Amino acid sequence: MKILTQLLITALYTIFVQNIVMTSGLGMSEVMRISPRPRTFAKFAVMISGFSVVTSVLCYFITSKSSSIDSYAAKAVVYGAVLGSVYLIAAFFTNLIVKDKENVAVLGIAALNTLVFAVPYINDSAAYSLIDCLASGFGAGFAFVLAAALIGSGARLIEKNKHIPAVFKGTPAMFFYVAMISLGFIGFTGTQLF
Amino acid sequence: MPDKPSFSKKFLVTAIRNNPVLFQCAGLCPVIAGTSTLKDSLFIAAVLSIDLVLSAIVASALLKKIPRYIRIAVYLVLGLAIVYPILWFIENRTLVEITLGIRIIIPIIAVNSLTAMHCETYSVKHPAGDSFITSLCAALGASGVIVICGLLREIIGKGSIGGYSLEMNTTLETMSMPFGCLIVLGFLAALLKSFRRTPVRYASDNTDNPLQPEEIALDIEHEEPPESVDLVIADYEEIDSILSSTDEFLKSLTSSSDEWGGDRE
Repeated sequence: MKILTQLLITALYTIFVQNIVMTSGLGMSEVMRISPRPRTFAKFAVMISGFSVVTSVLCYFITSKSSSIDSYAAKAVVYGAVLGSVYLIAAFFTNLIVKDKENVAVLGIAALNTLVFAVPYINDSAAYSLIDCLASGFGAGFAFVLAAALIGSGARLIEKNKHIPAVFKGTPAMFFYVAMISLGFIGFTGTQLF
Repeated sequence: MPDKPSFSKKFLVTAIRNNPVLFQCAGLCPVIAGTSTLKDSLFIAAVLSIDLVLSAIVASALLKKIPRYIRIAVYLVLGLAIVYPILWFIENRTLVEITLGIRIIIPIIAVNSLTAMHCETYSVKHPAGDSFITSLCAALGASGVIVICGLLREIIGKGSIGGYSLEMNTTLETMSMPFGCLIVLGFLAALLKSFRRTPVRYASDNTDNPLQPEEIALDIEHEEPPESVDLVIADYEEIDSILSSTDEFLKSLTSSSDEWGGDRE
């Protein structure tokens, strides 16, 4: 029960409080591009959570077993190698065994993005335990989808708003809108803004 | 046979008109997370440019016949091969003094979407020389945005330029947060968009001007305030067109018009 509680608390913290998409900008490009397509959200949530969990856990074991991996350069190589290997195994499996060519394309976006790559760094810098690593991996996927849903639904309202000056329509208005959501999430972290 | 577009024309179209950061929303993470000061932003811009240009050359010279899903992993390997020596030098030779946050952002550049998107949409379909020039233009466009963001955020957020205090009475520390960068990006995108609209008049006066990209003429359509939402989402359509050109890469994402149940199409 204690483990489950810890898992839940860390996951909720990662999704709602430390939403790394909104508070750090990680994976922002992918979020903005998939936000108009809510039908893909579930797929992305599962894939990003899956890649984040597997990568986090493997990186946790590798870095905790080897004391020589302490520099940022070494960590970059280890985390990159782990993420690349996990992606390739998943892509080979999907392409050659399941023969689902459509989802192979999505796998690349879900796996090789800044959000998934940053999760092991965050776990490392926060000195997370194995349970926390699992939870932050799950949380990353759901944080991504939460951000995409917020941006996508807001984008609809912005598009319909005829009071926005012509030069601010499109991406400029979207940047302002995302900035406001980002500010809201930073408020949850307890950071003093002024 | 049509004339090969000049460097200036390519620069105008790739770096300004279709700025990868401002209008394609590519490579946003390094921009948002790594541009709180001018020094950091110069560093991020340099690493991102090297990564983009080298990956584009390799992609167009060697990766054309490799399946797409493997190419994506190759970009990661190339990115790591570029960032590893940089990080090693920073840590062991104290090459430059950079903040802790940047040490995490630099490796993340290895998986930035700008490189993958540019290589997949352009480099693998064009010869190496052409790919080099276009990727250089895209890198310059992205770097310009990164450096401007870093400069403005440092001035407004910290009251300094490159670490030298401007002795300002008031600073807005929130500019150091992602919020600040997104606000700067919004204004930059609007500014660039306003320039994209003005050459329409300029073109009518100077039709022989070689610097006048033909594509800008299309912006005449954006000049009038739109009645329907079709033109309001012009930039979304721009993003969609880029996504469409990577059809297989993003095949499942380029689904039909409006999944939010509205009237986008």
